[in-house]
Parts: sequence; C-alpha cells; structure tokens
Amino acid sequence: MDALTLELLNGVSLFAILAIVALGLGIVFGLMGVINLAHGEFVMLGAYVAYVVHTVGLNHWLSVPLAAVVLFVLGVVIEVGLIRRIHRQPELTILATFGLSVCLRQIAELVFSKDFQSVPNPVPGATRAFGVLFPTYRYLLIAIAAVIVAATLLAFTRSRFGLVVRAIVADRDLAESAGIRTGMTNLCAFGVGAATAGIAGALVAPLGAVEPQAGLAYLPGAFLVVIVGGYNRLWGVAVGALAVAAVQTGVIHFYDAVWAQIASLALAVLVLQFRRPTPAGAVA
Amino acid sequence: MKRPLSYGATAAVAAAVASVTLGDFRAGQLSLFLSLAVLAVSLDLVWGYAGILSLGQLLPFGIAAYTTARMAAAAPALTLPALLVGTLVGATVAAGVGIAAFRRRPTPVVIGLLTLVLSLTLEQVAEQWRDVTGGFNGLTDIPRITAFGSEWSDSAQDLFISVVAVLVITCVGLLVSRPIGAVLIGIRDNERRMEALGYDTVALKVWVFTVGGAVAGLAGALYVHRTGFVSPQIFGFALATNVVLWTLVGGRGTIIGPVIGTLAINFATATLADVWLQYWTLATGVIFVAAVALVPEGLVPSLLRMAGRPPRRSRDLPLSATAPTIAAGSGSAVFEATGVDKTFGFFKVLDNVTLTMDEPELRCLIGPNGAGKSTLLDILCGQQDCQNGSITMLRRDCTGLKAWEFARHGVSRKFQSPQVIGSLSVAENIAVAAWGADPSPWRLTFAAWEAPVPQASLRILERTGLDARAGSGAGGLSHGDKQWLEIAMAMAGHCRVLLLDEPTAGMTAAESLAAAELLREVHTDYGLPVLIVEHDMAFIRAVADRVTVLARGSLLADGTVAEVENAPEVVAVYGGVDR
Repeated sequence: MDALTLELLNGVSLFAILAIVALGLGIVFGLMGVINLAHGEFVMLGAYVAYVVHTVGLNHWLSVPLAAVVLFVLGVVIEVGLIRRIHRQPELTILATFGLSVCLRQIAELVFSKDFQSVPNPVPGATRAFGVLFPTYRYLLIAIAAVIVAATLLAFTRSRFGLVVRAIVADRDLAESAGIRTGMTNLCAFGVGAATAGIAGALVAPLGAVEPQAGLAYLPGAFLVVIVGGYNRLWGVAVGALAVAAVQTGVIHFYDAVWAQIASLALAVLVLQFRRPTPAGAVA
Repeated sequence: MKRPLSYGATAAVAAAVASVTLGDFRAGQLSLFLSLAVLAVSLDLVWGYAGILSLGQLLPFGIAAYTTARMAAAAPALTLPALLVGTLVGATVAAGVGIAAFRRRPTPVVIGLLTLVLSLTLEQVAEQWRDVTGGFNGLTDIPRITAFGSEWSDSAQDLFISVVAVLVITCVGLLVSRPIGAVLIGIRDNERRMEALGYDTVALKVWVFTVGGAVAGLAGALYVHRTGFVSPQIFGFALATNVVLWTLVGGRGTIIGPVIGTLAINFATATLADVWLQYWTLATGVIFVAAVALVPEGLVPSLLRMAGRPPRRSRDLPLSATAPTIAAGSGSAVFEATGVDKTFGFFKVLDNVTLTMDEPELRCLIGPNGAGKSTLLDILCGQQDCQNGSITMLRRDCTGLKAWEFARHGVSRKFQSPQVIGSLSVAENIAVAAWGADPSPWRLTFAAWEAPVPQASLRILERTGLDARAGSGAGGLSHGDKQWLEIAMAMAGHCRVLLLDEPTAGMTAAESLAAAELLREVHTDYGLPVLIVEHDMAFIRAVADRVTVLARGSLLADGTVAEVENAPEVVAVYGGVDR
C-alpha cells in the first residue's frame, strides 16, 4: 500500500515536471506553429542559472525568477534574430532550432565544461504524509508546477491577452487584419515559452546533474506530450503530460525506464491513429 | 535517363580511381563518407523529393548496421548476402514506421518529431539490450567483408564500398528521373491536387519511405563494415543532426547536392576537428542555423540559380493523343447525390440536398456566397465526407470513398484557386495527371518518359497556347494560364465527368466568353459531362444547358438559364441585382 502511494507521488511529481517543460513548448507550438527543438537546451540553461546562483552563494529560490528573466531575454533575442524570418515555414523552424540546440549545448560545454555539476537541495529532508516519507522539495515542486500551469491556463482563457492569442491561433491572417500585432504576440510567446523552460530548469536542477547534455533528456518526453495532448488547445498540454506521466510511471514501476519510454511512444502512435486526419496539404 | 546513368558511371570510375590512388588513409575516409552520403541521399529521397521530413532516417540505418554486424560475426562467409539482408531490414523498419505514422496524415512537424523520438528511444533500447547489441560499448571487431574464400584487405573493401555507394546513389538518381520522380515532387508540392488526380498519396508515401529505408539500410550495412564497430550512438542526436545538415547544406531535391554536402562537411570535419576540436561542433551548429536562415534551398540549387539555371531542369515530354472519347456515354446517369447533409460544427452547410445529372450536359451550379456550392462539389469528388446521403457517380455507389478512388473512377476536379504542381513543367503536370489513371509506384518507376493524353486535354493546351510552353515551369505561369493548365490536367487522366470550381475567376469578360466557347466545344465534341460552379452570369448564359440554384444549403431552383433567371424565388435571393 505504501509502495503504491510512493509510486503515485512519484508519478505526480513527474507529471509536474513534464507539465512545466511541455507548457513552454505547447505555448510556442500552439501559437506560432513553431516546434522548438532547442527547448530542452532552454531547460538546461535554466539549470545552469541555478548552478551559477549556487556558486556565487545566493539563495536557490532566487534562481527561479532569475532563470525566467535570463531565458526570456534569450528567447526574445532568438525570436528576433532567427525565428521571425522563418516562422511561417514549420519545416525550417524545426531545422533551425535543431541547429540552435547544437549551438547552445556546445556553448554550455565551452563555458561550463562537460563535467556534471550539482546544485544542493534547498529544502533537504522529507515530509511524512499519506503514511509515507516523500522529499519535501518534490512536494514543493508539485505545488509550484500546479500554480504555474493554472496561472498560464487562466491567463490564456480569461484575460484580454488570452483572447488575442486565441484569435491568432484560430486565424492568423484575420487577426492581423483586425489590427492585432501578431509579431509582438509571437515575440511574447517565444519569450514566455523560453522563460517557463528556464523556470523548469531552475526547479529541477537540485534533482539531478547539471550538464550540457541535460536538455536532451527532457526532449522526447516533452514532444510526446505535445503529440499526445494535441495542439491548438493549451489544456491539451496538461492532458498530454498527465497521460505520458501516468504511462511512464506505471511502466517504470513494473519494468524499467526504457520500456517506459517505448510505452509512451506507443501511446503517441496510438493517439495519431485516432486523431482526426488533417486535410491533405494542410500546414500546422 | 541518360544523364544520371552517364554521370553515375563516370562517378563510379572516379571513385574507383581515387580509392586506388589516394593511399589507404584517404581511401578509407572516402569509403566512410560515401557510405554516409548514401544515407544522406536516402533522406533526400523521402524529404527532398517526397516532402516527408524524417529526422529518424537513422532508424533503418542503425538497425541494418546492427543486423549486418551480428550476421558478419556469426557467419563471416556470408557477409555479401548480409548486405542484402541489411537492405531488406532497413526497408521493413521504414515500412512499419511509415504505416504507423502516415495513415492519418499528421503534419510534417509531427512526423519529424515522431521519427526523431523513435530514433532517440532506440538509442536507449540499444544501450539496455546488452545480449543483442553489446550495450553501451556496442559491438566491436566486426570482420571485414569476406568473399571468394577470404576476408578482404582494407583497401579492397574500401574500393568495394566506394563503388557500391556511388552505384546506389546513381540508382536513386535514376529513380527520381523516372515518372515516379515527378509524381513524388507532385506529392511534395501539392498533395491535394495529386489525390484529386487518382494518387493514393498515403500509400505512395509509405512506398517511398520504404525505398528510402532500403537505401538507408544498405548504407548502414556498408558503414558498419567500414568502421568495424557499432554502438548505440548510431541512433543518437548527433548523427541525426548531421545527416540532416549535410542534406540541407548540399541542397535537397537534387541528388548531387547531398553527396557534395556530405563529402565536404565530413572532410572538413576530419581536417578541422584536430585543430579546432572545441569549436568545430559549435561551428556545425552555426552552419546549420545559417544555412536554414540564409540558403534554405541548399548550396547546389542556390549556385545553379545564380548561374541562371533552375535547380531541377524543367523537362519536356512527349504527349501522345489517345482515343477521342472520354465521356460517360449519352443516355446514362452521370451522377446522383441524394439527401446530402453536411454540418461544420453548429453550422449546417447542406441540408438534404439532392442533385442529379441524368445525361451528359453542361450544368452550372450557382448561388450566393455561403450557399454550399464548393462543399457540394467537394462531396461529389470525395474531398469531403457528408453526414447523411448517398453519392452515386457513373452508376457506382461511391458513398464514403476517398478522393483518389473517386478520381480513378473517372471523377475529375478543378479547384477554386488553381492548383498546379509548381516545380514541374507544363508537360510534366499533364503527364502526372495522365499517369494518375494507373498509378502503381512500380509501374511509374519503369514506365517510359511519355504520356498518353486524351484529345480533349490536348485540345485545351493547343487552344490556350500552353502546348508551345510545354517545357517551362508551371509555377511561373500567370493565374489564367494556371487555370487552363489545371482544367487540362483534370481532363488528362481517366476523366468521365468534370467538376469545375469557378474556372473564370480572375478572367476578363472577353476571356470568360472564350472560356465558355472552349468548354462548350469540348463538351459537344467529346460528350463530356461538366458541372460548373460559377458566379458570372454572362459566362453562365453562354455555357450552360441547365442551371441549378443553391441557397443556404438547400436547392432553390433548377431549369434553363432563362427559367432560373425569371424564377421569383431566385430573384428574391439575389435581390434582383443581376438583371
């Protein structure tokens, strides 16, 4: 019984991490039709922000807003310098961000070296709840992820900005001719997407090694979330993250991580078989 | 046909000479990079020609490499047959992926992601499945190719790999110079148009993905003999990035481009990586981003363009006339759509519409904007499904069939905005349409570079002057010429009933009347039944035997032009403006 509770809590914390990582990916994809293959590297850079904050001796929690700001600025620079030129061609954006991910990994390696760095857990210890001991930091992580995802969903469904965004998603050209500055909205979306990746990176930094390749680990999971959850609707990200996390945790419990990855891939393929077909020739 | 063959033969001889004269070290590099060039060309076939962005081309490559390695270790005498097994394994893997991925037409982005994630997952599987793959360190000490009783020397093997690689690349070059090559480009440029011409585009994509998988599989089998080891990184992100980079930089949609890209970048890497170790990977990333942002076409096509030549030479092609009759035959029912309902969300576009054509005639379908005309036309040719009702075309129940099945049954369609295949020449567009009547990929691989075209289609080309421009690119035609080209394409296949959506849009009044005359002529001479959606009343008066009026999703009136124009309900709907 306790083992099951623990597994469930593990599942929820995996869901929390997947949800924040995939959230940024989903915002950028849903709004701009751009798949950012460098998203994992944004997460990795967020983790390095936490590492730097630790090495200069500041409080870990400071790294969360700091990572958001740093990555927002980086996102804006990348949007202006690169994505803006090609964002209407989904294929080219995939390739460009593919190349970008190589650059970011390599820059991280040149600056910080290949070595694995660690960030100490700011809230060591465990909390006893539901009859089991579970790391307090992970409880906090779940709470923070819930707040971030809920706030984003609310912002996109309830605010004026959200209305503008949904108008663009529905019909970009029409929105543009209705006087919406879609360029500005793209800029915000890419910046915010990068910022949430940074937040995710800073938050997960104490849980594992901080290293240049760390972003790659998040990539498959986050993409499967986007494929499973669908696009166009932001809550699809939450549903997709839930499904992928459930499958992965369940399979890890009985087998291992590789089977978990295969199972979630199978889930994505299965979902594709039942998705309404896109009309021939349509673009994302 | 001649060009790829002679280029390929020359290149094979050059590779052999280079392999013998360059010395062991360079010859070894050449064979390694040429086997990678085969991989790049396999990506080019599926991506550059058929438009499927596959970031998982390492899947057939890597699995074939592992298979060949295991076979070489188990039965060293059978290394040559093992190369063929590797090819087959690659084809099987790719076929499986293609069937799972393409059926529901996901967007290119989803296919790219899915294939990438598949490849990355397989990297983990290869690390874990130690019994078969040797785990993280992979399989080492793979023997060289053994044949004629002995294991070959390094230099003999390098010579063999280089020559085989060039020959395989030549075969792909030959393939894309055949009719199937033009058809693949058609699918890349305009999948909807190809479906409306009778091509089962999903099946063709699976086919080309399978062929690409076979080529990648052979590349993997050659590669593993050359390197002598294989590890899980063969599925990894680094190689996946690189193969896309080589293809992109060289120029997809050409065969020579990816080969040059692969050789140039790899020789540069081999030379610079020693000096520049730290920065070279960063440089590849920067080259990648710069290539996408600045020369997305690739170097070879861009250079060709600068030299004033299109990257793919527009080719003329002999069009011969087939039997003059293409029609359903008079006195027989052409089509019958009964009780058709169609709803988009909450909006009912068609409400219990029944439209029949009892014998071949020129019928116009008119109605105010939003009446449901284009939707009805879509349903009559399978571009959209209807919720209720049945569709009988040319005496066969076609309800629920797909667009390409309608087309092969003889239902041809011209879209509202002209849909032609911009990268192909005028003659190739017509030929692709004509081949749609019997579009098996194997037949299209071996068929002659010519097309039998119904006389009606040829007559349209002659009368509009398009026949004089048969060799020029369709993408550069004016709007009006594209309209006519698409009408000629619609008539070029197995056309027994023609559906036209606003054929005169964008034409002047005089051009519209000429169009009406030409359509009447084709209808009279060949007995072709035609259904036209139109707004232009002058054109309709000139062309129509009969007019059907659709308003707000329901049938409003039906009769001769004069009858319909005077019907009070029609006048009410149009506000009497047009009289």
